[in-house]
Order: sequence, then structure tokens, then C-alpha cells
Amino acid sequence: MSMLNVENIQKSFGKNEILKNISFSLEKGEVLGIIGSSGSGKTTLLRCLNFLETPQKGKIIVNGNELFDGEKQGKYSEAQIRKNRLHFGLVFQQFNLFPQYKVFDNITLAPLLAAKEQLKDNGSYMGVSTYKEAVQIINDYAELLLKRVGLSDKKDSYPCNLSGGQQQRVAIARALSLNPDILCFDEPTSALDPELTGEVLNVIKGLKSSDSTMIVVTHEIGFAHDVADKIIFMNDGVIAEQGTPQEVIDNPQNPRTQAFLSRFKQFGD
Amino acid sequence: MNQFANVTQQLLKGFGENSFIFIITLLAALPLGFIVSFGSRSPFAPLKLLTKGLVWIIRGTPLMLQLFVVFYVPPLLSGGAFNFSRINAALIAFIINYAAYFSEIFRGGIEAIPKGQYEAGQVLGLKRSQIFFKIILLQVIKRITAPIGNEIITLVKDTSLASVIAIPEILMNAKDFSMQGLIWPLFYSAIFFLLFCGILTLLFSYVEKRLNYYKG
Amino acid sequence: MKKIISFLLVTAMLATAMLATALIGCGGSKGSDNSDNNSSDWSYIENKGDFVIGVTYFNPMNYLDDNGELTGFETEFAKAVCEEMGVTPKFQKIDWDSKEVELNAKTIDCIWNGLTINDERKANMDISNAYMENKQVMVTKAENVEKYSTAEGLKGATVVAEKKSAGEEVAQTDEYFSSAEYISVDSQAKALLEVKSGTADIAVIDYVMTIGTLSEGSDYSNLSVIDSQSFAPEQYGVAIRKNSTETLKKLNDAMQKVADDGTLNEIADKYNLKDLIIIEAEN
Repeated sequence: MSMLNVENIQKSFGKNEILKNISFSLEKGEVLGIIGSSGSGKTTLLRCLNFLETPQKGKIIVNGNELFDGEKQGKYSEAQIRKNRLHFGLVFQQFNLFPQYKVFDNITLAPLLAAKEQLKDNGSYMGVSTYKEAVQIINDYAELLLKRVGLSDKKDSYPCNLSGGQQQRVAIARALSLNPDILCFDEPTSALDPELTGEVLNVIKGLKSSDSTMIVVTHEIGFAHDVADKIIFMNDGVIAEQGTPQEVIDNPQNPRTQAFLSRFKQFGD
Repeated sequence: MNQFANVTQQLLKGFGENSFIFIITLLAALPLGFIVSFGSRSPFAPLKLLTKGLVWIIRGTPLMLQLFVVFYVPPLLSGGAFNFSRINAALIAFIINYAAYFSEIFRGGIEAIPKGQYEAGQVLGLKRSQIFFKIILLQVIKRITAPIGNEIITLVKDTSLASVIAIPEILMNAKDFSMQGLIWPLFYSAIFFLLFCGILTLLFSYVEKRLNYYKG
Repeated sequence: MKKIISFLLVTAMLATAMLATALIGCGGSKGSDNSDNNSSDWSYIENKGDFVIGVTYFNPMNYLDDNGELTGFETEFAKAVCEEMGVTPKFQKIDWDSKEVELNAKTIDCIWNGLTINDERKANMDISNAYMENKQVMVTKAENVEKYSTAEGLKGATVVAEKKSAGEEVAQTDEYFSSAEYISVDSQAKALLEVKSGTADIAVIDYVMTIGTLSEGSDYSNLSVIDSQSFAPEQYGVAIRKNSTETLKKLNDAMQKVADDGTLNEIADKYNLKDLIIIEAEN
């Protein structure tokens, strides 16, 4: 059983079909790189996985649990969708940190709210039964995450006082705060100055070594090659080619993949 | 000097009316405007249309006329059987008028928040209400302090319009003095407005400063 | 939850809209039968026991004394008449521009405030017998009194009066002002302010108004009435709702009684207005 199975996802906006019958699977601890030109549907696919968009058809299955089935369209309650979302984390292109909260509070906001809710509903959160203990766990974990992204000294800063690279690293820590099964990145370095992309990519590489399951939509072909176990090349809403980085990037078979990659090669990527 | 004391007392008494209208209007119109702003953003088309229509009528007609309508139309139509007291009529007109303006400021403030803020909350598993109150609201407040402050300062001066339905507010009292041959009370009344608006201006700049701890 | 709120909001708004329509709807019919159910105007007033008197404040007719109490010639006169009529006077300050609306909306029962009797007002309201005379006079800076005492002196001068007032009528039609420039303002007090500040040369206003405003110690004390000329004598009356025959009779009778027993003269004397009273005492 794979960790993630995506089956026949189809998504249109009006008459415009963005995703046509997308299927793939991902094993635990694997990193999937999704590449392709703008408008090929990469971001929409990621948004479907995070339930920010609802596909018209297809299934999303995580660890054998069916989270979504296009056949049961409209039957999912808001609570159900919220629960489904927790299987995935998402790091946005534009960071989307909460400007009014300090770095530390950006990371702990969601877990603290979740702890409150779970303590009320089930009387326990992560094995503890009081809010005070839950806060302790959450704070400790936030410290750990900050350390992992190398920003322990910035915990009391506001996002507006951080560089783009630092903000994106906070966003990664925030996405990890709820321990998602699969962490998704939507072009995490596209909004950054070139000299700041390195620090973010290094953090993502660090996560790979700690066995996180990740999906990375990126234009950084070299990075995708290094970090991904599997590459999907998307073109016009379909998966044009998939395989190992060696197969897809070093030795593409599909002429479209070749054309796409040649644009990067020109710049000595 | 006795005359000065008498004038001051009459003007103060009048300004009490202005202040009363100001405070009640503010207390009622801010929350009402907040509710109305949801009406004008509703996905339910009839509600949205109705709200937008009402806001258009209120913002598209002079407040002076609205004061007239609220106070005179009910007794004129009911043959004198029903009317609001003058002060109630004034309060109703001011509250509705200012709620309409406030609602548009709220709407603009809410719509100016980037979609990404909502989505970031969603992917973290937050409820709609949590997203609004924990993430969006403070950002909206920061964005609207300046325009709301402007509107509130305007309200201070607009309270004088209540004189058209014979609320004995400060300008009306000052004008009465000019009918008795005293001109200066009219100009003296400006001091009251200036002081009041001055205090409010200080208050707003304090709030703005307090919210300035972050940018964006 | 959200749907419920939406629903409630729509319902509330529709209800308001319907109420408004209903009010306007029934207003149409009420308006038309207003004229024939007015025999009841007196019983309406008698029932509530209050006679709401619409006033604006101006010296010496109705004004606040140093203790903040309403006083003045009209105030005392009205009190005396109300006592005769057996109703309690209630003075309600109004905006003069809205006096007819106030009367029709029954937020006041009469206008008693140096109201000039004219045909237009007679067509819209019932007006009591005239009780006092008034005339239009010219007010100018003391040093110009002589200059403007003849029509020739007005050449190039600016004349100001309250819009729609008897003063305006005089300033625009009387031969005396033919060579002067005319501007209108929204109150008599403003007309005086124009003269005082030098933006106009002559104000044409009610004589009665000058008694209070030009007195010693006021800001206008350097202005003077040009005594040699006066215009358009007119008369003051009390206005009530149209077709209130019974109320009108009660009012006229009571005013006559107050004149007969000497009270009116006594009050007028107190405010220096005795010469202007025109109700003849019958005794």
C-alpha cells in the first residue's frame, strides 16, 4: 500500500480543463518533484491535494483511507474537509505568513487551536489531558522546528523584519507544526531573490534526510534532480512523462520534456 | 464676564447633545456596519443586492434629508398618530447613515486582505470563524483605522445637522445668540469642535501607532 | 448558521421595506381626508391637554434669560392665552424653515413667533386675528445713517435681506432701492452680520428684530436703524393647522380676552412693544 494514491483526478474551471485524468502514487519517505511550464496544471494539482480546489472527478487516498472521491461530490462536510487537510501541509510561493504574529506564534497558532478543540472533544491531545501540558508539547516542538530551519534566534521577530528566505523557512516550520503525512511545496523559491533560494532549498534537502514524504513543485531543475526520488513532467494538464530523475531529466523520451528542459540547459543549469 | 459664562453654559449644554448623538451613533453604527458589510459580501444574491441597494440609497442622499424623513414622514403619514421623539429620530438617522458608510469601509478592508491569508489558515486546518477572528480581523482593523478615523471626525461635525429637526445642539444655540445680537458665540462654538476633534485625532494616532508593530 | 443569519437579515430588510411602502400607501389616503376630519383638531388638542407652541429663539419675542428660562413677549402672551383656553402651553423650539411641516406632522400645534400674515401662509394654514404690527426698517452702520436716508444715497450700495422675507420683498420692489444692488441670505441675523462685517451696506429687516439685536451691549450696537424711512407695514398672527375652525375660534376668543383685561398691554409694555399692539380692548 502506497502512502498516497491519486487516481484519475480531473479539474476544470468553467470550460477550461486544467487537470486531465492525473494518476500517480507516492511511497512513504519518497520525494516527488513536479516540473513543467507555467499553466501546465502543477499548482492546481497541489491545491487539489490540499483541498483548496475540489476536483470534479477522481480519488485521493492516503494510507489506504479514501479522503476524496469525485463520485461523492458535495457530500463532504466542512469538518471532514478540515480533517482531510491535516494529512497534507502546504508551503506557498508567497509564504503567506501571518504578519501580526511573531515567528514563534505563526508556528504555534494552529496546533494550539487544534489542542483546544481536541481536549474539548476527546479530552486528550497527543497523549496529554490538560491544555497546559499541550502548550508545553507544542512550544517544545516549535522550538525544535525553528532549530531545524535554522531560525531559533528569530523566534520573537515579526515576519516583516525577515528576509524572503527566512520567511519561507518559517513557513516550512509552520507547515510542519501539525505533522502532516505529506508536505507540499508550491514553487517555494519563485518569489525569492536568486541569492536567497539556496537557504530554502537546503532546508528542504534537510527534511529529505529526516525521511519526510514530500511533493515539490519547482522550476529549480537541478534541485529537483538532486532531491527527488521521482519526477513528474506535466504538460497541458496531463503527466507527459514520469520516472526517476535520471530517466526524466537526464534522458527524457517525450519531445515536450526535451523541449522544456532544453530551455534550462541553455543557461547552463 | 457674566455673559461669557452664560454663553459658555448654553453652548456646553448644546454640545452635550452633539456628544450624546456622537457616542450613541458610534456605539451602534460600528457593529451594525460590521454586520451590513457581511450582507454586501454575501454569496446569497438577493441579500447582497438588497444590502447594496440600501447602502446606495443611504449614501446617495443627504443626511439632512434622512433626518427629515425619519422625523416628519411617520407623523405626516399617520396623521400625527405616530412619531419618534426628536432625539430618537436623530439617532436613527445618524446610526443608519453611518452604518452604511462604515460597512463600505469594512467591506473594502476585508476584501483587501490577500486570499493567501485565508488559504494559509485553511491548510492549517482552521475553521472559517477561527480564520476570520484569529488571522483576518486584526489585519482588517489595521487597514481601516485611518478611514474609520476620518469618518468619525466627520461624524463629530455632522452632529450639528440634527438642528434641522430642532435638536438644541451647539450651533443652534449659538445661532440663537446671534438673534439676540451676539455674533461671537457662533465662532466660539468652533472651539468645542476643535477640542473634541483634537482629542480624537490624538486617540487615533495612538491606535495607529499601537498597530504599527508589524507591517503588511 | 450563516444561512440562518442571511435569512434573518433578508427578512428584517424586507419587513422594513414593506413597512415603508405600507406607510406611504396609507399616507396617500390619509393625506386626502386630512381636510375633512379637521373638525377634530380641537378635540385632539383638548384630549392631550397640551398646546405645543412652535418657536424659534429671538429677542424680544422668545429667548432665554440669564437663568436659561424661556421668556419674551410672545412667551408671556402665549402663556396668558393658553390659560384662557384651558390648555397647558409647551414651547417647542423648531427650525423656522420646517414650521409648516412641523405643524402638519402634529409635532407642534401652532406657530407663535412673530409670524407675518400673508396670502401664501393663509392658503396653507389657519391664522389668528392679527395682534401686533410690524414694519420693515433699514439698518446700517451708525456713520452711514445720514447718507442712506435718501434714495439717491443708495446708488451703488449693497442691500441685504432674508430670503423670502418681507424685507426681501421691499428691497426688490420698492422704488427707494432701485439703484442699489440686492443680495439675499438665509436669516435676518445673517443680514445684520453682513452689514456689520461690511460685506453689505444696508439690511432690510423686521423692526421687532432690531429691538433686541441692536440694544446696548450687543455686538451690533454700532448699527443703527434709519428712522426716517420704514416700509411695508405688516401684521403678526398665530398660525395653526388648516381648517381647524374650532381651535381658531378658541384662540381668537382667548386672545381677545387677554387684551380686554389689560394683560396684553402689560406684557407689551414690559418689552417696549406697546405701540405695536393692534388688538383693540373692548371694555
